[in-house]
Amino acid sequence: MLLVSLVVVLREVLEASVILGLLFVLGRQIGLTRRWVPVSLGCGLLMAWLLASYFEQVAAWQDGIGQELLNSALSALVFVGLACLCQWQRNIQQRHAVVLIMATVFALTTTREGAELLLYYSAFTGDADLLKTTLLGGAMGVGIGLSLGVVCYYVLVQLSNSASQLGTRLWLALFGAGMLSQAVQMLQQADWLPAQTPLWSTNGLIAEQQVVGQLLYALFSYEATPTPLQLIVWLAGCALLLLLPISRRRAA
Amino acid sequence: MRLPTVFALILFAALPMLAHAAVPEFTLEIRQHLFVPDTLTVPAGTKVRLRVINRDSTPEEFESYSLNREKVIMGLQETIIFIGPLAPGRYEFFGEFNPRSAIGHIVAEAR
Repeated sequence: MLLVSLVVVLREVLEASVILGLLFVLGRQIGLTRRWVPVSLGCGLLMAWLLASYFEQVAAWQDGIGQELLNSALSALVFVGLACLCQWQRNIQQRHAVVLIMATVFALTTTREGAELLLYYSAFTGDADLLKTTLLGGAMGVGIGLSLGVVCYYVLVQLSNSASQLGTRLWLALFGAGMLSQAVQMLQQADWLPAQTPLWSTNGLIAEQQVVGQLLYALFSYEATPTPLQLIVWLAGCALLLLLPISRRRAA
Repeated sequence: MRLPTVFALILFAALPMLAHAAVPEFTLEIRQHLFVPDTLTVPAGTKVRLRVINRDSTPEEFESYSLNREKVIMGLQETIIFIGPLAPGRYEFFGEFNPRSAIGHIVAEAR
């Protein structure tokens, strides 16, 4: 159970940890403080607790596809947030908005991942021994997840200024596009978007269930078997996040 | 913000509320952290509705990398997961909260 809980927690924490690392780098590049983090984390955890508490009701929306609708909405909102960050990154006048968006993006990520962890742990509340073991595994998962986020941060920070900016933007684009692709997958699962056969499978190359696949999933939402719609949305999302400064310059 | 607006419009335009045709339904139960049956045969090449009933009092997450699906099912609740259209073959799924015991396969067969 120790290893299982470690993996379950790690998978959830890693995504939040990577996005936090990215936001830190972005904040550093434009000279923002990190005072928003505790508030954002607090709000995220509170929303996660609320979501976990009312999960049955949420899941029952629209004949039982509430979970997919909510998850796709959260993923899409994270993408919109990242798009706004790309747009206003260099705009001094939008500084407060940028901080608010960073806090919102992190809170939304925490909400989604946190609620799932609370549901996972709710299964062990009746068994003190099991709860202890799984919490220990979870603590190790949190530790590893946060460490990897720190690694991401320092990899980007160590780069030269221009390389760091390019790397951060590229990573944000991949991460954000992955969020959109996940949103599409959820809507296809809910049958709100047309069902499609995957275009290809790279599972033979990098299997999603292997460590490398899991890591790539957390870092860039790696998808071994994307559907055509997922690919289109991913490409569009990626292009948008990479192009956004151009439209800003045009508007200026 | 011209580009994002255009993008959002395209995204919403692409949201067709499809009429529900007759989709074959299959039922899967979770009992004592096991999937019953552990192998489910479904037709290949068509969308399938999977009804997952959790008979345990604890939540479980239906997860499958090959099917691209994940969904939490609360204790003593049931849910619907749409899968496919699948190419003929064998697809593994598991319960993320109990991955050692809750393992099953979906076999897609051409008819």
